Amino acid sequence: MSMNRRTFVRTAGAAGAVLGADIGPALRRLYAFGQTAELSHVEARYYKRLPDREVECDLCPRRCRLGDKERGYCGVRQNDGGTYYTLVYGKACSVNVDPIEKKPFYHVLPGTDALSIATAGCNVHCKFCQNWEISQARPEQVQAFDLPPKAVADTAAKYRCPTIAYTYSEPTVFYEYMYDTSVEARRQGIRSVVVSGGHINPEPLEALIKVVAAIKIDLKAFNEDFYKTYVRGELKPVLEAVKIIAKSGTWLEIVYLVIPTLNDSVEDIRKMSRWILKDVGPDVPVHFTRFHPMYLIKNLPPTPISTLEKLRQAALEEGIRFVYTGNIPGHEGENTYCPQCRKMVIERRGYEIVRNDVRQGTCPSCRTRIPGIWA
Amino acid sequence: MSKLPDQDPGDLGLRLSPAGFILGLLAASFQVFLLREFSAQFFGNELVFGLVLAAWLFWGGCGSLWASGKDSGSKRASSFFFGVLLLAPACFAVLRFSRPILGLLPGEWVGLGPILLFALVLSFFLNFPLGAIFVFTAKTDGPLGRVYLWESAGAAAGGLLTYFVLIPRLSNWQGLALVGAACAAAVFIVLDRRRTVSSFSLALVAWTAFFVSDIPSQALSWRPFDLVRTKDSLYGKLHVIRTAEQITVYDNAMRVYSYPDLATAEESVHFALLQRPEAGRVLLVGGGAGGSVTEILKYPRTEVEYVELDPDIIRLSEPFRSETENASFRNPRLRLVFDDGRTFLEKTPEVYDVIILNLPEPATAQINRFYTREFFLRARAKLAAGGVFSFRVPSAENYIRPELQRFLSVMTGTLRQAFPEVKVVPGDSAVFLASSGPLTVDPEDLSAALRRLGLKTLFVTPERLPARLHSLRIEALRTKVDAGPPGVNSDLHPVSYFFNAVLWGTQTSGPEARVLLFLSRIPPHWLLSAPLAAFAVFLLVIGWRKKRAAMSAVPLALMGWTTMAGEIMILIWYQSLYGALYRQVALILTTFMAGLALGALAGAKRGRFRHRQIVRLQFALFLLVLALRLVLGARPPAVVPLAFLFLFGFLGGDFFIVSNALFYGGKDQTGLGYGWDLLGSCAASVGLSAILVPLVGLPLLFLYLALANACGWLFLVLGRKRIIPLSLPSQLG
Repeated sequence: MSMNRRTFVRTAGAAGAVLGADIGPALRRLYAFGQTAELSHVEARYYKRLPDREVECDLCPRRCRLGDKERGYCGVRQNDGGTYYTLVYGKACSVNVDPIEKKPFYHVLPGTDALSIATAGCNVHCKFCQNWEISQARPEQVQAFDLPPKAVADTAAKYRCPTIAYTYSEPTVFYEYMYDTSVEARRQGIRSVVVSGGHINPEPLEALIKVVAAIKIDLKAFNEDFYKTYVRGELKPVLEAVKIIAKSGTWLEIVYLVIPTLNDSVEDIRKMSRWILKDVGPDVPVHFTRFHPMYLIKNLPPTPISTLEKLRQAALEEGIRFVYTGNIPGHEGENTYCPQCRKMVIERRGYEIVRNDVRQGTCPSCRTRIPGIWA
Repeated sequence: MSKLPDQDPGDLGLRLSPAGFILGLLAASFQVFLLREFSAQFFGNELVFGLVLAAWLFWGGCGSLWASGKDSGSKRASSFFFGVLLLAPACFAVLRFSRPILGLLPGEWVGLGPILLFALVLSFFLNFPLGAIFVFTAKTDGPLGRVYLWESAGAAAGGLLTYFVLIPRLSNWQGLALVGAACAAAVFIVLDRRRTVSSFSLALVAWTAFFVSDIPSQALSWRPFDLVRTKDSLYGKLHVIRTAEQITVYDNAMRVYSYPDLATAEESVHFALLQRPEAGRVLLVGGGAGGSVTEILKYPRTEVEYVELDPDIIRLSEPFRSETENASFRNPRLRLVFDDGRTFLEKTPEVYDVIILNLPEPATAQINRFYTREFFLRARAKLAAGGVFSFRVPSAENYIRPELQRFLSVMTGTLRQAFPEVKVVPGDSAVFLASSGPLTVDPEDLSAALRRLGLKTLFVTPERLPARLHSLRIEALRTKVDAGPPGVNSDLHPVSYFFNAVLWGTQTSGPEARVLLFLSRIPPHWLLSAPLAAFAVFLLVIGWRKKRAAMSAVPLALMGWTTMAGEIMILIWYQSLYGALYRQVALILTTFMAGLALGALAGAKRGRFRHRQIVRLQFALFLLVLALRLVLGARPPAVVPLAFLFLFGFLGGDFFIVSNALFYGGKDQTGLGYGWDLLGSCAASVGLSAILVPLVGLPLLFLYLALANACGWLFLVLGRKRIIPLSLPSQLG
C-alpha cells in the first residue's frame, strides 16, 4: 500500500482527532450538513492489469472488467490509468457500538460490544437491504469520517469493545481497509468479526480469514432464482465461500433472513440444512431472523413467528445442532441449548444475556463441547 | 373567416346536448376512478396525482387539437364513444396488473418512471378519444357553447353520481362497470343512429365481465399473498392479506399495520408514555388496531381516546385479531372516536397528559396537515402542563443520508416552534418527543420506569434500550438534525411532503430525487420570477411579431392554467383548514363544475361578443386570485373556499365561451380553444401540488399567479388590435 505525504498528514490529523477524549466533536464536524470526506486513493490488492489500461477486479465473483476511469459494480473501486484503486480506504461513514448479538453472533464473546464500522458500497443489490442508505450509495454521496485503521482500533479500545465488526454494508468492497484494520486491531488484542453476504473470491477470502476471528454469512435464500431476482447476485459463490471458511477453522455463523412467501419454503430449508451438514458441519449456528419491511419492499408484511418456528424445527430435524430464531425477543429460539443433554446453557432476551452457563466452552451438566469463541 | 355554425334562434344553451352530457359524465367518472385506481396501485401522493392528471389533460388537449382539423360526421362521435367504452375495461385491467407486468411485488416501491409511463399510455387510450369526441360533438351538435355547457353539467352530474352513489356502495370496478354500461346504452339509444347492435352488445359483455371479475382480479394481482378481504372505503382502497397467523392491512397499497406486530406497537407508544408513567388522559391519533391501544392500556392509570378516520381500517381486521386485542376495544378505559384527528383535536374540550400521533409519515398533503406548526401548536394547547406529544417517522439506524437529514431537521425545527423541549429517539424509525417539561432518552431513566411499572414488553425493554440509545447513536442523530438546513413545515407552506418525495426518489434510484433537490436549492422567488419573466417576454415577442395563432391561444391557455392552479391550491388550502377532503371532494368538485356550467351559460347568453368582455374577464380573474391571496392567512368558514371555487369555475366557463367566439369562431377551428384550455390546465398540474406548493408556499404562489394574470390582462389590453379580427361575429353560443 502506498501513502503519500498529504494522505499521511490527513490521516494522522484525523486519528488525533478521534483519539482525543471525545468522539463528539468529530461527529459534529462530520455531520455538518453537506460535508463529504475526500475519496481515498489506495491501490487495490486483487486485480489484474490488462492491455489498453484496462483492469479486471479479482475481489468478488463479478470480476468487473473496467476501462480507464471506470468504476466497478460496487461503486467504490476505480481504474485510474490502468491501476485499480479503492476509494473508501479509511473512510468509515457509519461508526456505532452494538451488542455482538445484534450482528448476530451468538457464539462469539456473548454479552460484549462490537465497534461496528462500514463504508459506502456493496457488490449486490438486495431489495430488502437494511442499510441501503450506505450500501447503495457511492462514496461521494455519503458523509464519511477520516478514520484510518489505527484510529478504528483505538476507538474500539476507548469504548471497551473486544471486537470490531465490519458490517452494515458489504465489507468485501472495503477489503483493504478491513484487512489492515484487523491486523492493527490484533496488535492491540482486539478481534475482528465480519458480517458479509459472502460474494467474495477464494483468494482474498483465504487471506482474510487468517486475520479475523469470525465471519457471519448472510445466506439470503437457497435457490438461484431468489438471488437473481431479489439480490442481483449468485448463490454458488456464496456456498463456495461458506465452505472455505468452514474448512479454515475461522468461526462461522450463518444467518437466513426469512421474507414471507419469497424464501420461506420448508423444502428449501431442509435442502440447505442437508448441504450444511454435508459440506460445513453440524456445529455451525444457523439463525432464522424475522424480516422487518425495509427499503424497496417496505410494504411487505413482517415474517410471522410461526414461519420462523417451522423453519427452525426443520433445520433441527435435519441435524443442525444450534438453530436460532432472531428478532423475536423472549422466544425460546434465542437461547443456546446443549445438543447432548438439551439443557439451556445461554439464556438470551433480545441482545441481553440473561444467563451464560458455558464453562470453558462446555456444557456445565454433561461437559459436551459448545463450539464458539467464549473468551 | 370561415362560416360560423348555424345558430338556433333563441337557443341560449339550454337545449340539451345529449352527447355533451354523456361525454362530461363519462370523462368525470373515468377520471375519478382512474385516480383512485392509480392510488391503489402506486400510493396516492401528490406527485402521482399530478402526473396522472397532467397526462389525462395532455391527451385530452391533444385529442381536441387533432379533431379540430378533421371532418365530422354524426357517426364519428358515436364510433369514438364505443371505441373508448370498449378500450376502457382493458385499460383499467392493465392498471390493476401493472405490478406483475412490471415484475414488482405487491407493496414494492415504484419509481416515478413506471408511473409516468402507465399514466401516459392509459390516459392516451382513455382521454384522447374523449377530447376528440368533444370537438366532433361541437361540430355536429353545436354551437360550441351549448356542448361545453352540457359537458360541464354532465361532469358535475358524474362527480355527484360517483361520490354520493357509486363510491359509498360499490368498488371502483363495479362503479366503473355501471357507468360504462349505462353510457353504452345511452350512446346506443340516443346517439347511434345506425343502431350498431354489435358494438353495443360487445360493450355490455365487456363491462359485465369487468363487474364480476373485480374480486378475482384483485386476488390474482396480490399473489403470492393470500388476499382475505378488500373494500373500497370512502378514503381509499383497503386490502387485508394473511401470512400464517398474521394479517396485514393496506390502504392504497401502503401498509397501515400488521397484526400481531409487537415491535411496531410497542415502539409507537412506550417512548412517550415512559416520559410520564403516571399519565391519565391519553389521546391516540390513528394506528390503534395494530396493538397500540393494548400497549397504552398496560399503564394502570391511562384512559384512552383513540381517534381513527376510517372505521373500516379497524373493522376489516377484527375477525383476525386475538381475543385479547379485541377485548382492548371493549375496555371501558377506551373511547373510540371516528373522526378526522385534526378536527377532533380542534373541537374537543379535553386536555391530555400524552398525545400520540400514530399516522404514516407526511408523504401527502392529506397527512402532512398533522405535521405542521399549526397542528403542533394545537396539540400543545390541548396538553396539560408538562404533557408529552410524540410521533414516529421513518429514519435510518446506522446512517442518516443528507436527504433524510433535511427531512428530520424540518420536523425538529417545526416541533421547536411549538415546544421548548424536543428529543429524538434514533432507530429505523425516529421517535420524536416534545414537551414544555423535561424529557429523557437516557436508557437508564427509561429502563428504571419500565421496571418500576413492571410492564411486560418485548422490544422496548431494559435489555434492548442501551443498544438503541447508545450515546454514539444519540449524538450522531442529534448533530445531524441540528446541522441540517433550517425549515418549518406549515399549513400554507407544507415543505415536509416535498422532502418525503425526495426520500422516495432516492430509494427508487430514479432521477427525480436529483431534480427535486436541485429545485429545492433555488430561492423561492427565483423559482417563480424566472418563469414569470419568461412568460412576460413570450407575450411581448408574440405581440410584437403578431403571431395570431399564438396570440389567440395564450388567453385560453392562461385561463386553463389559472383555473387549474387555483383549483389545486384551493383544494390544498381547504384540506389544511378542514381536512376530510376525500369525503367532501364531490361537493368541492361539483361546486367548481357547477360554476363552470353556469359561467358557460352566462357566456352563451351574451348577445354579442366583444373584446372588452374578455379584457374584463381577465381582469376579474386577476382580482379573484388577488382576493384569494388576501384571505389566505385567515381561517374563514368552509363556505369561503367553496365560493372561490365557484367563482373560478364561473369565470373560466364564461371566459371559455367568449374567447372561443372571439378567437376560434370558424367551424374548422372548433376544438382549438378547448385544446389550449386543457393543455394550460395540464401545465398547471405538472408539479404544482407536488413541487411548487411545498417549496414556495401558497401565499407566494397566489401572488405570482395574480402577477401572471396581470400580464395576461395587459397583453389583452395592449394587443387588442393585433388579436381581434375586424369583423366580429355577432353571435356565437
